[in-house]
Amino acid sequence: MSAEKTSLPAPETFDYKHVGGRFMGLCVVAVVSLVISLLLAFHEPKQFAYSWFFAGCFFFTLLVGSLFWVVIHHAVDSCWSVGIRRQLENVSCLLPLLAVLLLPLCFVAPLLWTWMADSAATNKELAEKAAYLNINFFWVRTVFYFALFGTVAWLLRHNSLAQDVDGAAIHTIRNRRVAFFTIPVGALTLTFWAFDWPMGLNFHWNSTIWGIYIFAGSVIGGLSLIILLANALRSAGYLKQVFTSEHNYALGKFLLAFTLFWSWIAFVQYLLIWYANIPEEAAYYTLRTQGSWKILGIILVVGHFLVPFSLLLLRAPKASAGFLGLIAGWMLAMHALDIYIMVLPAMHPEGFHPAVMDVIAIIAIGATLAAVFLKRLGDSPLWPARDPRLAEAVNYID
Amino acid sequence: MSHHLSISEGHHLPVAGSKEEALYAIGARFESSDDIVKAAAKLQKEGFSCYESYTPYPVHGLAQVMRLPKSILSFLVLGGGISAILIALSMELIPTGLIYPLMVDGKPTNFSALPQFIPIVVALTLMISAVTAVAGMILLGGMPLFNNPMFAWDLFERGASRSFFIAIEAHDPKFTTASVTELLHDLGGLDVTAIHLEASDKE
Repeated sequence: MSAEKTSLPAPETFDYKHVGGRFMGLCVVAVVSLVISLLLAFHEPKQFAYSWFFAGCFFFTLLVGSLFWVVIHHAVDSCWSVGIRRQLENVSCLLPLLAVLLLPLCFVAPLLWTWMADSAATNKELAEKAAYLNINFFWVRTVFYFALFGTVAWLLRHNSLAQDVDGAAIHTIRNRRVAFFTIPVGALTLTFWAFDWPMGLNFHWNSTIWGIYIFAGSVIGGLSLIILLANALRSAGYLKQVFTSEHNYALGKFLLAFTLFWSWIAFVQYLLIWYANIPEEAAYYTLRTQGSWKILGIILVVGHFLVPFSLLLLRAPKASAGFLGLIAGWMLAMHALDIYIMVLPAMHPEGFHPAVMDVIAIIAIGATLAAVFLKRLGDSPLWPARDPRLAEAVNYID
Repeated sequence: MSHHLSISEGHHLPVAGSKEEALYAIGARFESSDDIVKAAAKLQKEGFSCYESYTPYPVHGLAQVMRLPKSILSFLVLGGGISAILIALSMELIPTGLIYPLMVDGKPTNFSALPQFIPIVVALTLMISAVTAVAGMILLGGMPLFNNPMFAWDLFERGASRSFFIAIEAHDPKFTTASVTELLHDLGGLDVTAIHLEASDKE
């Protein structure tokens, strides 16, 4: 169209005056909470194992969710998300750091994945599954999950940064190839991660839709995170030209769509297990629909489906940063609750048992990731400054 | 284009349809979506209310500059969806819960067995909402309409799939042939034509 602005917005870099002393505060919080976690780990190793695992799953799904949005951006050659892509890249590149933060799980693994402490010689069911479910293969797979997602995240960001320097379209094409590779391989990898990590807490149980369920939650997590990040940067005075209410509206529509997707997958899983009524499968929901866990389950249904669904149906508020930010924050909390209900009932079957360690673990991992994210934020322009589709992204009208 | 020329062209305005019949509108052709958005914005500013834009595809921003009110379609769809939920639940719960309780696997048959009723509810809600949306779109869009007076204009009939047209209708309070013709010329409209109704077939 002739009305398009032909001049591209000048690239912006993050200025640390906006965080100032708060950055040091974040580092202090991270270090203090890490130290407290370490002390609690020796005091209550089992609670530490589950809490750390809960926080680890929460952040892993957020980072993989962010990676998904970068991958899908390249795979479908989309234009609207160019302005926010760099932040998604920055977030997903925290995966190697998360892998380091999750190293303590190696030491408490048998407390968490009880099949590790069991012997295939005496447990007949474990013996049947031993070809897949054995300790060596488990760790090989775990390394592979982090290596694959970490490498893909690094490659996508690496090419994107290279394009900032020379502006060559070949980097976009390379990234597209990486994306094409990642969609099938990454889908399987996330599925197997979901089987090994959260589902492995009870090795008797299985659900074939589990991988998609985890995926749906991850995508919502990544989406909520980028909504908060982009609007935070915008309110600090950045991204004004590349991120407008039109982009907010697009994000809002995606949030509505994936809320429905998550709800349907979650419901289908529940329905099939409820209807088939096979003891081995039903045990998962029997545990989670009794006592105080039931209350959390109802909160999840209302908070993860009914509330965002009815609010996001409205058209006008989706374009407002304040409204969308509120919903995104809410969805992050609900995603945490979703993971919490997956993990903690395995440790406290008698009912909801709040522990300080749950909160400390979230703060420790979250603050460390946030501090490193902030540290790296100024290293590169805030959006892919010479992306071939930047002009379209700037002029995007929903 | 000088002021004088456009007035004089107004006197020799090409005519479509039958001259004996009433004047329906004065139409103009535009070459791009940008041109038609600009033209519609100007018409809105001039205070015209009875004019129509014809485009081969939905043009971004056109509805905004024409100040078209929000369609009531979303409320119709919401109503359709909610009634679908009620229909589905009563179709399931009244027979299996009240009239002839159907016991399968010892599962309850009343409201506490809600999960098994949900797939039907979802499917029926989707279907009735979708049908409401499509039917509502067609009906609210004024369809079915057997003839549009614009079809009297040969160029419109041939070019509707690739050109952009604006027609200012004769019943607009601000309508005078001379001023509208001049305005459409000034806005960059091509092939400005007076469109009369067609003579009805007398067999």
